[in-house]
Amino acid sequence: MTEPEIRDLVAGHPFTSGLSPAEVDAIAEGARVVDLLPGEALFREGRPATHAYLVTHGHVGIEVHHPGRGSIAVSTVGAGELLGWSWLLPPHAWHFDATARSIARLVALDATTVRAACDHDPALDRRVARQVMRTMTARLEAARHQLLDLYGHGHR
Amino acid sequence: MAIAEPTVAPLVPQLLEVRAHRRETADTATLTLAPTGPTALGDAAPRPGQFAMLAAFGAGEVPISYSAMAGHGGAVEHTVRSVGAATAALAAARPGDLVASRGPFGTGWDLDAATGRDVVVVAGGIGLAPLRGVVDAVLADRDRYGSVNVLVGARTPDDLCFAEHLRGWSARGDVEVAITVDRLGDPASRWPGAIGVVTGLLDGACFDPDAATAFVCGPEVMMRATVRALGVQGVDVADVQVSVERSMTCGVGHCGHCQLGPVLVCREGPVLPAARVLPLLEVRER
Ligand SMILES: Cc1cc2nc3c(=O)[nH]c(=O)nc-3n(C[C@H](O)[C@H](O)[C@H](O)COP(=O)(O)OP(=O)(O)OC[C@H]3O[C@@H](n4cnc5c(N)ncnc54)[C@H](O)[C@@H]3O)c2cc1C
Ligand code: FES
Repeated sequence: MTEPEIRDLVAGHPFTSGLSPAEVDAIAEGARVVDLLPGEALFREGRPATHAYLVTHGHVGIEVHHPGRGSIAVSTVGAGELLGWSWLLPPHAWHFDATARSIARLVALDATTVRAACDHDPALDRRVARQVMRTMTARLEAARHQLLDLYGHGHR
Repeated sequence: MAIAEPTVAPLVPQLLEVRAHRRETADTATLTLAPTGPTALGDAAPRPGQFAMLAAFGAGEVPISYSAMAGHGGAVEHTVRSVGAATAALAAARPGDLVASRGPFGTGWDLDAATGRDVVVVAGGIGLAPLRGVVDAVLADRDRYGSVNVLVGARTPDDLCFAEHLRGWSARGDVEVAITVDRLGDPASRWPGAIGVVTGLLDGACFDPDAATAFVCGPEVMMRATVRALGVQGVDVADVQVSVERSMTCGVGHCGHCQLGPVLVCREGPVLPAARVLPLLEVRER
């Protein structure tokens, strides 16, 4: 895939909605496309979080490794979603494993580039932080609802 | 969603025979019920979203939605999840057994409101039962609607109802079916799909929020979250219908058991405009 094609993928992803073309260019510099087959690992807990991943196709499972029980998928991230935010905050290391559950395509934004662009432009920094917060809020609400076991007995 | 007046003597149960029993999950079964005589349902054939007061003898009478409308010989389907005495007895009924039924009662889904528009069906758990008729009706008259998205949430892969129907709808190619589970249940599960709440499926669904009608049924927390998430996508709350559950005794507006604020759910509901019912659901009950 050519650089302009990758840039278009970034520009069309909901994560960059509200960003100006120049801002998209700034964060998309050095971005690459990652294609995964089902069961293929994207990253592992504890490894450096060097990229921000925008899922454009398929599902990637967020997994916790449990000794003796293997990796347990606790949620999935699908097309149109941001996968991971450990790249934004020190120590820039992943807290979970991520493994494709279907054929998946993601755009990997270079985390150093994104952080540098944000440091350089406070307006972009705010917008990126807001998008990441939106993702975190949705995941937190989802996790709370999953904990509630809404479809278990006794819920109406 | 006009208030429906029952067209059969509302307090007189009819005997229906269990013609088939299909196990959906460990605690849920679909019963095919047919009249024992020629008179039974008559012109009171149920519409999607309506319910019957079903009784298994000696175990109690409870409201249960129609999960498939009158088919051959007036047969209907109900999908029952066993949560207590009455539902356990119904879910255990076998071909040849008799059950008592009063209905159809309630408003049903307003499908006319979706004519020429995109259709978004969002179901959580057993909430797919009253919505199955919506999907069947929309697909039977497919050209009348724009895009059709069916988004389903289940507790675990093993708790997914209507698996065969979901596969059938998916295979047609003119309806998008997306399924998610709250958790895998068995960590060794080979579930290949999404894990997370049903509202997460809205991000991947293709519809025009300005021209979409949404039909939502599931636990109340799920419905509130879904209406909010639809709003974030740009769907006007006026274009969202929800089906609510309240404990019911008469089913026809006489006893007041099903009251939700000023609404008698058995008569004015169970399908209600989200804009009307959401503020009522937000009132804290003891
Ligand atoms: C309009 C309407 C349509 C319905 N459609 C269906 C349907 O298609 N299929 C179906 O299986 N059920 C449906 N229900 C719910 C069903 O009526 C109840 O599950 C039933 O009344 C429980 O009766 P019971 O005697 O088996 O259990 P109970 O002894 O009354 O209750 C047993 C336990 O289940 C809990 N419980 C009771 N009601 C519910 C509920 N609605 N949801 C979750 N937990 C509950 C109670 O809090 C209690 O802990 C519908 C309800 C309404 C109002
Ligand atoms: S159940 Fe009796 S009034 Fe609604």
